Amino acid sequence: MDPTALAHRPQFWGIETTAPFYVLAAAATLVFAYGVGKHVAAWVRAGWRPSLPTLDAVTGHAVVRGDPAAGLMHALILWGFAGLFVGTTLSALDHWVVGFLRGPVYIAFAVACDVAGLSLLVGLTWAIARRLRGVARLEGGAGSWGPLLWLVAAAGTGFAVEGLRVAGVEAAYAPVWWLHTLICLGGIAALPWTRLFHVFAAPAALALTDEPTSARAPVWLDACTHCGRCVEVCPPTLAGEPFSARGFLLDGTTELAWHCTTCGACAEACPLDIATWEVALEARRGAIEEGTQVPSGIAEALQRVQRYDNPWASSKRARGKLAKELAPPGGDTIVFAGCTAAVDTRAQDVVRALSGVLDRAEVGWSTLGKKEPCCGDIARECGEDGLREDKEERARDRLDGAVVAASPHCLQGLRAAGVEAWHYTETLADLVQDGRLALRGEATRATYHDPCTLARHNGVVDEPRQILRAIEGLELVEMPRHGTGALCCGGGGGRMWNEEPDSTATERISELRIREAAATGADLLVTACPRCLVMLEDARRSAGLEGALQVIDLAELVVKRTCGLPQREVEA
Amino acid sequence: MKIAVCIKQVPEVADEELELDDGRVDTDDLVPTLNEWDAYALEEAVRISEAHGGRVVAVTLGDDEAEDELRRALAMGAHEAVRIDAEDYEDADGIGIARGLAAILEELAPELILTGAQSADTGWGQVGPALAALLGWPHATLAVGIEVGDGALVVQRELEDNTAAEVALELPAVVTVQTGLNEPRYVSVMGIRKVRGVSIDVRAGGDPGRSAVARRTLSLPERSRGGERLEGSLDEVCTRAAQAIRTRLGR
Repeated sequence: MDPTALAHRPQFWGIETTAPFYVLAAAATLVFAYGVGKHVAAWVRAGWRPSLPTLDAVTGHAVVRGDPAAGLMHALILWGFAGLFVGTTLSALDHWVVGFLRGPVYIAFAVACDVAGLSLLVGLTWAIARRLRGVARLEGGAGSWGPLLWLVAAAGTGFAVEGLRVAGVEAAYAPVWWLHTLICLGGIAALPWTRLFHVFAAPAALALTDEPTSARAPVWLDACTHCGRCVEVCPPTLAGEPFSARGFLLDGTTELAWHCTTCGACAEACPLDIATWEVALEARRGAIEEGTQVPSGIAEALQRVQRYDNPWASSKRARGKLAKELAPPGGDTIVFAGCTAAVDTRAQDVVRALSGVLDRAEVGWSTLGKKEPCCGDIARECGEDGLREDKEERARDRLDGAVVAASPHCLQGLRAAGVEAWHYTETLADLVQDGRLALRGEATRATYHDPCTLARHNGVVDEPRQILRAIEGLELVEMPRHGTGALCCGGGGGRMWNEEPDSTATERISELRIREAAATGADLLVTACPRCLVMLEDARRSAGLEGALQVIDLAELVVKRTCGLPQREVEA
Repeated sequence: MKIAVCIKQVPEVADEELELDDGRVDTDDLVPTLNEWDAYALEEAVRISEAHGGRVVAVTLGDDEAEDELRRALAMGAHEAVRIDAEDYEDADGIGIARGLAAILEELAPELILTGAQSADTGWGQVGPALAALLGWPHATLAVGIEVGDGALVVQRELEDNTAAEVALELPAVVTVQTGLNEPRYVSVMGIRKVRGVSIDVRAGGDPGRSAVARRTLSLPERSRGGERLEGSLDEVCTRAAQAIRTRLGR
């Protein structure tokens, strides 16, 4: 008879009394279940609703996105561990239910288990080497090393058990088997109290749907693996402020919440879609309601929104004045200038340019002038929900029809209010595509700064680039951080009105960004948001880059490069 | 401790240019708001009540619209709000307003009255001291620090040229508050909505009496050509200032 036909695993080889094993296994399972139950109960109390995790979550694919090397390392550990878990389960079935792990089937099973174990060990070695080599975004400490070393011990003793069994070293087998058993069962019992709990919390985080932030935050807190991808992209962290997305999620104070620019880069980078910026917003909501922990700049800006309908204390008269100067020809398209454009001369140029472009493309448009409502976006980003609701209601009442917003913030606010709104880059991209705008000019190198509110929060990434590429002679060079991965200008999250966080920075966020733009060698830094424009223009001066490049809004660039089409006379 | 805070609604000027209409400031395009000094007085009262217990009553002398400021006060943490109907006070000066308030404040019987050192619109700075005189209570003006003791207060007063005075007052007392005493808390729209249902006690005030000051007309000042800084001892500075005024008046 072929000896391979007899191949099998002798269960509990040399272990005379198995009862303690079953008692310990049951105890470990109970402790484990209690720990998991505690987490889930906290989620449910916060308003979490269970839903099926996505395929992406189950496969761990989300981890690969953004950092393939770390993703592969993670996959080796995850699938190695999962393989061994399946192996142990099959082995238990073989022992208790029906013996099927015999002969060639057993040999295939044993090889598969070895491959899984090897994958786990390779992944763990990689993970440890990475940590020893030093990756800035990773933390040290028992919380990071504990689970890794536990897995190493579990896999290592597992191989030792197998080796001793194969070699037939009966004397040493039992103690090593017990050691392996205790390590594994102990780890299982402790798992809910370690970062390995992300095995369960991460798929739950990826499956979150439309729960309010207060219901998501506890799941996010448990799911966070401390991988630090958010830290690498968090603007205040990059500027040297005492704030990082990860730090805030895990242990944030109300005071720190005002550092967040609500740019959303953390959520974009997070393999688990954890939106720490929303957690910061939630903290602001609490601060706004309580009242005493609102930075004075923010409090003043919001009070001005309450009284004047804009954060600049600009009167209705000022908005009316700009509208009068622009002399809209009338038409269905409502151009929404926004409040920054009503007071800031530079931002006014953006609206002037936009109106000029529409005129040249012969698009009929109108404005609300003095009656233009507040979009309420500043109230949203500062957590002033009552004020936001008031402004949204007014915007809904006053605006009827399609609105073209000069600012991505107005786009955001108006869309949230349920108004049909477009950003002007979307409108202009259509006009370019339809051949209604001819864009000429001399050779220029330009780079484009994606406004967070436009690219990340509203998905408008391609349209501005379509317009730029349509400009004759213009070469578009991208900054390393661009599109949905762009770095904030530093003016988001109400920070345009709050200078306190800047005082804690080693370098201002806006200056970091202008340096990134200058490093591309571009002559022009193009953006499409009045706030980014003001922030970057200031940074250009404070960083001493006046000679290096110009900052310009896309509308301004387009109006300069539009020719061959008749221009309506505009009264100055 | 029961604290009454006298507050006033004023038109906010901000960056707006003032326009005169028939010798009065045209307030049509100006946004009404809480007098800045009074916001500090309210915040201080709320903080004292939070630390030592007691009730805060916000009192204003004004029309219906001024109730917005009372709601703001309630949202900040005041427990009650009283509006004295402004009908009789249209031409009242600081003393007249104090007379109007005094009658009601006697009824309310607080142990401490806080108010702004001055109002942003007329800026006379008289109501606090006048109120103290009418009530026969001690007072301190321009408080930049208030410490509450047992039946008494220690008040830091701001004086000129970065000097300060510390005064002790026995309660009941009147204290007028300088900006910077604290940081008034933010009042959210939701906070104001929550106190929408609180009823405001509307009363008729005391007799304003005859005004000591009569306002005939207002005119906008001419754009100044920049000032001259007078230096030297106090006597020298005063003498030269008096000379400058005489010269300007042509005497």
